[in-house]
Amino acid sequence: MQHEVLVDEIESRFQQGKEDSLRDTYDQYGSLIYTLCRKSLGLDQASDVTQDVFLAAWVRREQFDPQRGSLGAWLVGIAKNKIIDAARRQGRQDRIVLALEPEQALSSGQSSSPKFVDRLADRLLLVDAMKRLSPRAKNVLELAFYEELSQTEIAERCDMPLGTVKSDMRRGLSQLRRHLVNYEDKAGLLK
Amino acid sequence: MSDNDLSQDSFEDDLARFRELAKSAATKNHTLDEPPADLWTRIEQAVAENNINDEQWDESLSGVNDAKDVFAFSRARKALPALIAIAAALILVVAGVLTLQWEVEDEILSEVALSNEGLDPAGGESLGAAKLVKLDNGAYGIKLDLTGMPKPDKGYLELWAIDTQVKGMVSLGPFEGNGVYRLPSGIDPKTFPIVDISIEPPDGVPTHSGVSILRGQLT
Repeated sequence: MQHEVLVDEIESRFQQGKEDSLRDTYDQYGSLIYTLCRKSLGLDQASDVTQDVFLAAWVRREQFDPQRGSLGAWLVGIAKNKIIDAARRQGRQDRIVLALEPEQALSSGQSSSPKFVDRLADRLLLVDAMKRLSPRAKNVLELAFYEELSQTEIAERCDMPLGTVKSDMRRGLSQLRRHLVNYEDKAGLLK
Repeated sequence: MSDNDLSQDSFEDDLARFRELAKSAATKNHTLDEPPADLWTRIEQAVAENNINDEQWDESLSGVNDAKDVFAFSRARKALPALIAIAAALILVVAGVLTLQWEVEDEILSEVALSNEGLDPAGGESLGAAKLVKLDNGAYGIKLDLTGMPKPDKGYLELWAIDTQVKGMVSLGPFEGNGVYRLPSGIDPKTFPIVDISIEPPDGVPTHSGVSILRGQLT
């Protein structure tokens, strides 16, 4: 599949620090990371934190392991840590503002709990991953997800061989799984 | 991962998990936004600045400007701890010399009494004054003369200059006794007139903890 080859190539070039690979990575995942930051922290901080994510990713690019998951999932892992840090800073800032000038107390930070960010990140990763599927695999999975059709029902609905539907679903789910892998951060390497 | 890597169980698990997520995303109308048009330029600049810093390290270590590749990072990092230690020692020596000079030659521009009123009770016994001084090298400093400062069981005291909007703040470093604390170059004391001392937990987070024990505003 041409798109998969393109993404594989970007991941490899990014990991090796090839020129322009950061731009390609941003073109592929800028929307995903920016949306996650905006929905978690608000418009004011979204650009700054997105910038931090891509800079940190570039500096630590050798730590990215394509065997563990997609580059998008790795970037989201970094973004989640950056968002939590930014929300924590904002929380501290809010307390200081409250102490000095109560009327200026800010109200941001409600949507930045780790649990909320994890859940939001998974949803956005799924939306992003669905866009990356082949049109046929995407259609098959949409029927399985939203209409809860069985593989046999999808085959009948789409007038496709059952074997093709099964193959498309397995391939599609494999891609989703790789894109939605949760990078753990025991060593703090994602910050 | 090949198609055969997915067992029937994991197939069903994945299907159920992703179905739930897909429905949830659709319910919440999750779509992806286009980032602002200038965001890539900002990232590019940040990476370039990071590269410049990296190249400066490389040059200082090797003495040879061979870092032509703008995407070259992390060379000679093994020598970094030693270099930092040397730099820190030099800074201490220079700071000590400058502090001695400042004690003698400070030009006092303004002064404010620092108070614990309305702040954390850990600084209930603390009071004193902060003076804005012009140093003989043209830089600004905050000269502190404080008493009754607490000694936190965990953490340390830190001195801050804060703007009147309470949106910007500059750390002047850990409070380690009375003396002059230099404002970083480029920081205008008129923009950051609030002098604040906080208790900082030893958590490695570089921002203000929100636990202030003394504060006053220079005029």
